[in-house]
Amino acid sequence: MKLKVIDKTDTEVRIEIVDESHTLLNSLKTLLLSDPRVELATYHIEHPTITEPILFVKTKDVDPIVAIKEASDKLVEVFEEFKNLFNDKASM
Amino acid sequence: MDIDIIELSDTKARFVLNDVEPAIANGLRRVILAEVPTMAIDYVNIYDNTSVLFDEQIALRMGLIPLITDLESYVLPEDCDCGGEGCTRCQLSLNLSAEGSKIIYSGDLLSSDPKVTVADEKIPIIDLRERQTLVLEAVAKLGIGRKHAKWQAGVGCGYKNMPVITIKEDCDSCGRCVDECPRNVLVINNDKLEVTDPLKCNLCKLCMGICDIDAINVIEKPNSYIFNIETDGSYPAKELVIQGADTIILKAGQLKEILSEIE
Repeated sequence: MKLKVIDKTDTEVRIEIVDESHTLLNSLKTLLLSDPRVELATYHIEHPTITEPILFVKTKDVDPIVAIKEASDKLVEVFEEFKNLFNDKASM
Repeated sequence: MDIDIIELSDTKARFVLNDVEPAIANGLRRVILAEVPTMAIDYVNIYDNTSVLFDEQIALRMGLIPLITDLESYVLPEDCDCGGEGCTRCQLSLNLSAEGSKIIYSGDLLSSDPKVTVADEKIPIIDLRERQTLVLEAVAKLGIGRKHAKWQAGVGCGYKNMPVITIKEDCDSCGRCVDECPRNVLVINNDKLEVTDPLKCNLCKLCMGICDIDAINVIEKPNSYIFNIETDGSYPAKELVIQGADTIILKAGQLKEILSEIE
């Protein structure tokens, strides 16, 4: 994974995420939107094979990069919970 | 979040996933289909081929043979120290040497690593006739399904919404919905309409359409999904689901790490 920051201000960021797809970004976007400090979070894939997805986040009172970092922490938490739960139930 | 496992075998898993966002369920589906690394033959050296098939056709058939994957001993070529050139950490070879007349099966491939073998020994590769020979060396590497379908571990992975079927008091047990249902979910028992197995329902709502008095109602339960996962044999089904979750955890971790460097 590689990141290219296209634009960045105190409340807005536009990042190109190289070699990723809906798999990561759709879940990440949903978790970003569940954060009340995030006003807008969306991503755009112009073409599925020749362009890379661009994530856009707009926040208030918080650095957008921090918001993305917190959302990726939440994503890890959700899948850790899923993994442990599945492992427990499957071993029963 | 809550999980109810309905069926779990080596090649199949079926479970109900409750209280998760649609995006999370879809993330899990996508990662199992296309992002879990598996072993597959990527390069074939053909030393002798006097069979009826072209070298390319045989190479394609070799590629599509599922191999049991060992993620502890191997890494993806792009993450390997050798830079993808090929070393014992990122690839292994399988040999085949056969002469007719007989059918050559995937089980005839001899792997250089006893941990990585063909997942199914009974996949026919080619029918050799008398005096026809096939000698080749195949190189297997790790890869992901997004690059090529031969690296797809979850060959069938999908989910549907959890159906909730309610029958109202004023049902007159006419039995038309029982005949209409393509999945045989409904049954009349002691002059009363009953639901046998709601998990079989595919939410087609034909029963709702045929009922004149609107006595039956089918809805999708929000944030509840029935997952169906089938593997090609490279991982047991349980392992595949856990690897799927691990792959997303790894991606999210990488994203956070790179963002910390930017700040």
